Amino acid sequence: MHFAKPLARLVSELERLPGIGPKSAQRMAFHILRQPREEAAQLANAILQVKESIRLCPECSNFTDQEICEVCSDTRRDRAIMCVVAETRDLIAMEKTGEYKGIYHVLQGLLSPMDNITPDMLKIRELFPRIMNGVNEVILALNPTTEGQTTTFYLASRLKPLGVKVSQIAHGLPAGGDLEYADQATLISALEWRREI
Amino acid sequence: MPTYTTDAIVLGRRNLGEHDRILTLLTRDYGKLNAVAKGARKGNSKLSGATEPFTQLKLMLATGRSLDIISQCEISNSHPALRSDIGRLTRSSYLCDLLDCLIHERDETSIKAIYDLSVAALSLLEKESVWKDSPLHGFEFRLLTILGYMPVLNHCVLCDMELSDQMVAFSASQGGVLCPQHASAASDHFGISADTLQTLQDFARVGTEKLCNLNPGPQSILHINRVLREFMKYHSERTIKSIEFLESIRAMGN
Repeated sequence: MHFAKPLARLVSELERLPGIGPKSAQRMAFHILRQPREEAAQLANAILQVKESIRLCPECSNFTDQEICEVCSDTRRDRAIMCVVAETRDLIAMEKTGEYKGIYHVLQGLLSPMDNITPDMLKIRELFPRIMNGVNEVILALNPTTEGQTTTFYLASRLKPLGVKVSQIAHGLPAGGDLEYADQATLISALEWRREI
Repeated sequence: MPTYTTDAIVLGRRNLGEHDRILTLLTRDYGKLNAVAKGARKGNSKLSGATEPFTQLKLMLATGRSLDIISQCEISNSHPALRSDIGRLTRSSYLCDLLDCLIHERDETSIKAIYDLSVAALSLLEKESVWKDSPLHGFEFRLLTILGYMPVLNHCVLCDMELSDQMVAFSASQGGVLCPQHASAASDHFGISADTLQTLQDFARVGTEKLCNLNPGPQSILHINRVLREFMKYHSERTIKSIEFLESIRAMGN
């Protein structure tokens, strides 16, 4: 590499970020180099602060900088309904709808046979004591992918014996989707989940 | 950019950048290859449903500098029944993982036979079987035969003594069964019952339509699962990650 050593180090660190290739890493590194010192320090501090202050909520396993996350500490939430999501990003997407007023449980991943991601690697064990604490319905809001469906079936088989109602969010055509290009599985789901209008 | 068409099964996928995916495909004409599905992770992408594992596709691919790019795609069979329970999902995932581990990239040797076998096995997994693993084990035996790894099951690998109706040993490193006198010659050997040997020989013999009716006893099931697990691990160049997950699902009774 023809870069000065500190610059080469920055490029190589940025390359380790997801979705960042060598060219993007170089572009970002040169951008940081041209920034005023204060702005570069702000970026460095923000990265350190995230590492130092963000932890998992002991109740729902959501990322938080508080003792208990905002959702779990909100007393207006309906604690009889729990929505299970794979990632914090999914929780944020559900919250943006403004329609859901129950509590959450974040699994921090999905079961994956092909990557050998087993139940003990996710926040599944932590789910059961919470269910026993007055939850009547569990909504499984996981992606309609191979991994999402594997996790859904696994959780349903473990939760139903506890006597709790287990439901799954509807699968079907996305808004703006194209019926002609939808696959069999999507169309079958769309037909199964149809409703009277 | 030159293009070509082929039938393919999606073996796996990984994310690329913000919106794209790299698919690992088993194609009927060109062997195993990786190709980019551009925009497949966007919510309303026409490709998103086509990137799920075990989906059968008709593809037009454009030759790229490092990776080929999917330019057109039609789903021939998304195998919806395979996504209806955790047992079928896990067994189909293992089947795809196994193909990914055992087939070399762009190796066209016997690829049409392997492709047709894989399509038939996925269809068989969608049906009801007396023993849930019989379509999978039938697939494994036939794949091993095509690849030239079929274990010796009728006679001792070392002394050629014909074996049937007796307790024998199996060794993955020796490539098959061993008579009681030669069992200690392999450090990785383990005992299998006469019933297990009979069922293993049946697997290698019976047609696809009879596979679903095979119903061995509980002890034989454990032995057969172990024989194939050890044999596949021995012949795979990398770890077959889905084996452990499959074992845990079997242990749950799925």
